[in-house]
Parts: sequence; C-alpha cells; structure tokens
Amino acid sequence: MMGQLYADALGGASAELEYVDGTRVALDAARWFDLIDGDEALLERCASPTLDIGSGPGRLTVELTRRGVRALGIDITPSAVALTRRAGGFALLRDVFDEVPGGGRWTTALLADGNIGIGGHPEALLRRVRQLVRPDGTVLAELAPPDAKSRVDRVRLRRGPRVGDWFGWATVSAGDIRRLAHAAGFRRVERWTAHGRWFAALSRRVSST
Amino acid sequence: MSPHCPAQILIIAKEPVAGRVKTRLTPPFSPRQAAALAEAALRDSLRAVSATPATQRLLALDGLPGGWLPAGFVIIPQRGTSLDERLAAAFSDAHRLRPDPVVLIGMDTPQVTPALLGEAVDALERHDAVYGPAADGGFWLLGLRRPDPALLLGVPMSHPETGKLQLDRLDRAGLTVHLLPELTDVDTAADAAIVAAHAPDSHFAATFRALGR
Ligand SMILES: C[S@@+](CC[C@H](N)C(=O)[O-])C[C@H]1O[C@@H](n2cnc3c(N)ncnc32)[C@H](O)[C@@H]1O
Repeated sequence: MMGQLYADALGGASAELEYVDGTRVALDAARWFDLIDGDEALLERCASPTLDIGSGPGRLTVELTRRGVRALGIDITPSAVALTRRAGGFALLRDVFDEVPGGGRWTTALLADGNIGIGGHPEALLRRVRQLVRPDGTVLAELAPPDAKSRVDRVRLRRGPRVGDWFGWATVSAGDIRRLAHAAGFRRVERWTAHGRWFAALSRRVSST
Repeated sequence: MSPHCPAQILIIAKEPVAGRVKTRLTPPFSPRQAAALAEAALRDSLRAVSATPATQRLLALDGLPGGWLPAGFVIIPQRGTSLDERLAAAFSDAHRLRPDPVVLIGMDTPQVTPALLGEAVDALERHDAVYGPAADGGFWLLGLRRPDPALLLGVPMSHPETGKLQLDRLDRAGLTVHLLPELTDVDTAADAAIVAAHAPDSHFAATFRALGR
C-alpha cells in the first residue's frame, strides 16, 4: 500500500505525502525511530501481551519489549518489520485485516501515531481490532485534537517525479471517538491528552478495574 | 447499459449524524429521526450508484464512513466552504484521480435509479454536460465531460434560481447539455412524503413509514 517510497523513507530518503488537491507535506519518517513526547502516556497503559498495529520501525514494540511487556508489531512494509527486528523487537509482516496470530487473546492493541487511519474506514478498522483483543482487553488509539475535523483522505507518496499508488487514510478527531467507538461495538471510552497528543482507551466492558 | 461506461460517478454526502444533517426536517422529526432518514436516503443513493456501470465510484464525504457504505467506493474529503466551492472541488478531485467525465449526485434523491444514472453516464459520450433539474429550482444531478471549477464557482446554490443560473453558466461556456427528468429532492417533511410515495421500495420509504408518517 505505502510501497517502495515509504520503504526508502524509512531508509533515510525524503518523501512527501500528496493529497488529491495537489497539496504536499513532507513525510517525517525520522519521527518514528525514537521515542517522542507523549509516548509514555501510551506505553504505561500497555499490558502483556500487546499488539502494535502498523508498528513501522518499531519504536513502541521495542520499548515495550525492553520493559518486559510482551509485544508484537505487525506491519505491511517489509523494511519496517526488518528494522523492528534489528532493534530487538518481535514483528511480523502482516495486514491487520488478514489472519493475525493470537486473534482474540491480546490484552492491549495499539493504534499509535495516525494508525487509526489505516484503510480509510476507522469504524471497520475498530471492529476488526475489537476481534483481536480479549473480551476484557483494551484498544489504545491516538487521535487528532478535538478541534480537528474527522475525514478520509486519498493520498499517495511522492519523491520528485516518482509517485506511489493512491490509498485511503482517515483522521479521527477526539471529539468523534465516542460515537465511532460505540458504532464499532465498544462500550467504554476514556480520553486523555499528553504533550499535545490525544488518546483514547476503548473497551467492551462497561466496568473496568 | 453501455458496455464501455465512459464516466465515473461521484456522490457528495454528509455523514448522517443526528443534529448535523437534514435539520430542515426538525420539526416535525427529532434530530435522530432526521438522521435516520438521511442515512436511508444515502443508502439508496449508494445502492443505485453501485448498480450503475461506471469507471470509478466515489464519495465526497463530510465526516467519516459507517456501516452504510457498500464496498467499491473511493472516499475523498470535501473541500471549501460554500456549496459551489465544495461541488467544484469534488469534481476537480475526482477528475484528478481519474481523468474520466464525472457524473455527480447528492444524497437527497433516494428515488434515483440505475437507469437514470446510466442515462447520465451515456449522455456524456455525446454531450459536454448532463443536467437533472430538481423540483425546488435546483439540480439533483450534474455531469461534466471536462470538469472545470469555472463552471460552478459563484453560482448561488440552494436558491430558487440555482438551476437557471447553473444552466446559463453551462450555456455561456458553449456546452451542449442533455436534460434528465425532474426529481423532487428531500428538503422538507412534505418533500419526504412525496419521495417516499414515489419510491415505496426504498430504504427511505421504509424508514419514513417506520417513523409513523
Ligand atoms: C504512520 S506509520 C506509523 C509508524 C509507527 N507507529 C511507528 O511508531 O513507527 C503507519 C504504518 O502502518 C503500516 N500499515 C499501513 N496499513 C497497514 C495495514 N493494513 N496493516 C498493518 N500495517 C499497516 C505502514 O506500513 C506504516 O508503517
């Protein structure tokens, strides 16, 4: 989906994200290599075993492993999986919509960074991830700030004249997560913010400990 | 049905969330009921588009997709503030993704059929534009062989003269226009009753009846 240009970007090459109206923004792949402000607000809520969906080069998977939390990253980009393994994390080349090991047994599932946008249909993604966690498990999702507008974009990667295929990517505002989570079958939604980033914890059980 | 379907079909729609859609139906309907009617109309429109041969099907969506979205639609976001801007942007963005003629409809005519949409798609083989007038003076469908924002920007939308001004605009650009039959678009509760009676087998009519109207 994100293809060779994304793999190149993980290797240090520049890349831009291009929208249908022609707008382009630089893809800051370096941001996904080292822990950034606000990551702690996610990491401290992860319990064994944790599934990191769209784990990229694996900064969260690796850090969880280092802390003794059993964690598996899944990603559809081979070089991202390779980078995670090299950094000491477990990772598999897997699409979240395909067969994922441990389906229904994960305690925590992570949709960090913009990964709630995967597939461009967040309700469908959340339904899928709900099947992956245990009945009392938790999905941790990063969101756009409440004043952002939820939307589905059509984007592609570009480096100079080279372009990848168009794909769908969603942005979910913190203001819409309750409605969306309920539509996807979650009953409990907790929101918080840290270092300017917004997060939600979604679970099926109304009471939680 | 044309075997070579020369155009793509684009629906411009708003996510059916209570309080954000079909506010002119409240009263007599509650915001939840109005949203249920909007969702039903959207489902009917999407179903008609799915059943029409086209090179690509798109949804220019304000908000997020839900369980109502069938497979096979490319989603693009709406851009712009006023409706003329958003229509112009949707045409341009669709055309940039795929340089085929574009047929556009909204979500307020659940009685639309694949036959009507097929007629619009086929018309763009012989005409520069295709136009479906709405009973309120606006339009329910617009198709353009070569979308150009200048054909839409500045036309006052949701205005009794919208249709006339839009047709004048196409005319002054020297375009040949194929006209489709007039349809009622759902704006008020009275329109809803007319449309439900006209398409009794639609999701829209079923929802309307379930609300006891
Ligand atoms: C915005 S990046 C996030 C980076 C990552 N969270 C990190 O910390 O390094 C999105 C990642 O999701 C992956 N991805 C996209 N679609 C996916 C899918 N359907 N299943 C699994 N991973 C996917 C991409 O390959 C990419 O690495």
